[in-house]
Amino acid sequence: MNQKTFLLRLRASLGHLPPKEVNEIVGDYEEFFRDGLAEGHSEEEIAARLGDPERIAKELNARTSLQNWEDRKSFRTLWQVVAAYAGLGALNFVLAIPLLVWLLLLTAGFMFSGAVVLAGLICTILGISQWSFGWPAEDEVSVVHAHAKGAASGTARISINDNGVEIVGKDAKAVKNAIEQHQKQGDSVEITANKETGETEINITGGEGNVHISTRHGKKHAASAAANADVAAAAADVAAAQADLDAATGEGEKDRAAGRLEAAKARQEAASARATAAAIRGERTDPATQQVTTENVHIVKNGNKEDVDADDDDSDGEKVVERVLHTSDASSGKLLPIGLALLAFGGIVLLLTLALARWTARTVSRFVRYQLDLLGVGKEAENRA
Amino acid sequence: MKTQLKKGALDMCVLAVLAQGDSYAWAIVNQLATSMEISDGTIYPLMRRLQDENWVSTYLVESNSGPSRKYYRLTDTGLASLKEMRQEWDEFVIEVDGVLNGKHSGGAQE
Repeated sequence: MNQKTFLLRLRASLGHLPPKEVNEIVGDYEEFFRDGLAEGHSEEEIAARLGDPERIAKELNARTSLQNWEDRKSFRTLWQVVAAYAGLGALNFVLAIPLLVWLLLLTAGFMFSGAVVLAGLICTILGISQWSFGWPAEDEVSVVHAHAKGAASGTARISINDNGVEIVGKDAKAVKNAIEQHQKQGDSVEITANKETGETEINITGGEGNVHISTRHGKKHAASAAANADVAAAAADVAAAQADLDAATGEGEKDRAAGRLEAAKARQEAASARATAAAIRGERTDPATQQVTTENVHIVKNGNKEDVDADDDDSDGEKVVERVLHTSDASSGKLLPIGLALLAFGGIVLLLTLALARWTARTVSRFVRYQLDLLGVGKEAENRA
Repeated sequence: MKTQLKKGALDMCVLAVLAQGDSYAWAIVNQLATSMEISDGTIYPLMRRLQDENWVSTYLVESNSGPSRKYYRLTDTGLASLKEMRQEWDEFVIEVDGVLNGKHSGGAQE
């Protein structure tokens, strides 16, 4: 083997090292050849004295990766150390296979515990955020708003949090549009929600009629239906009083009729006032509400559709409000404890794996260092033999 | 047996050669080779190890024929380590000699 072959084989076998280091090592051996040649030795002679270039490279590789691992103590370099030693033949086959399996287990342990810690971290952050900012909301109301005319349809969630009520979701814009349309017609639109009681109200007042949906009670339709009769009765009272007044001939009769008319009108106004108040708050048992709605409104509670109010159907369109209140007793309330538990569990496993990895690395490198030292000198013994 | 013994002693031998004066790889190997068998190829891994231990430093010297040559110099730490090794070695040799010659060596109970 001449100098060129020796150096090429050496360089090729040093592939794992950084280029700067490779150049330095090859430079060293070039110098060795120069010195030998200067004293009159042949290239082949010097190459024979140096020995097998792959062997030298393997030793340098192994020492460098060991050095790297001792410098940085990372798990990846531990793998490199084992790989370099396996290549050196310092780890025999019987020993290397269980070691590789063991390293695979350690790697899996790292990944598993890392994932658990990450999940725990996310849960904890969400839990803390929920606890201090009310986001993500524990209670959410799903609203499906569909309109036959296609003016506005879609699905959105009404999220209840400390900021009030927010309409969120992929179709939030469509639902907002629907509400805005009502507002343009001069209707007042209110969406309110009570976080404590889980009560949600959607009020649309004015225009062709009032829509009031109180999802907690779910019985508003009864009140609304009764409201028509009540308003009609009040109107009938007024009409009758007016008729009485018109029909009255005597002075005394006229006075009494005028008095009844005033009383009827007052009752009507009172009914209207109560109706307005009821429409806004939706809590009154007093069924005094004006005409209800021109559209069909359904409330779907936990998947069961129940008609709230189907009177006065003018087939203008259909609006479906679907409301599902997530009581969230299953997960979100326990976000923080679950997250902390995951963190603790993942952390313990991670620390355990780390300790095992350190112990493995220390044992392996001690053993292999010993083997390497034997190889370094033993080599020449077999060479000379 | 011999290889393990030699391994332990090789670092000390190289340090001892350098204690006589700065030198370069070819010269170190040849000086060692006059009295012991060593594998020339392992001199560089060995020198790198000594450098890692901070026992040896290097510097380049321009040569008349071509590129500069790398010289190795014993550091203060290296010198201290050499003395320590030398002492241990001497004690060890006395102990072993004592056993081999069948004499009881009083001073080497340790």
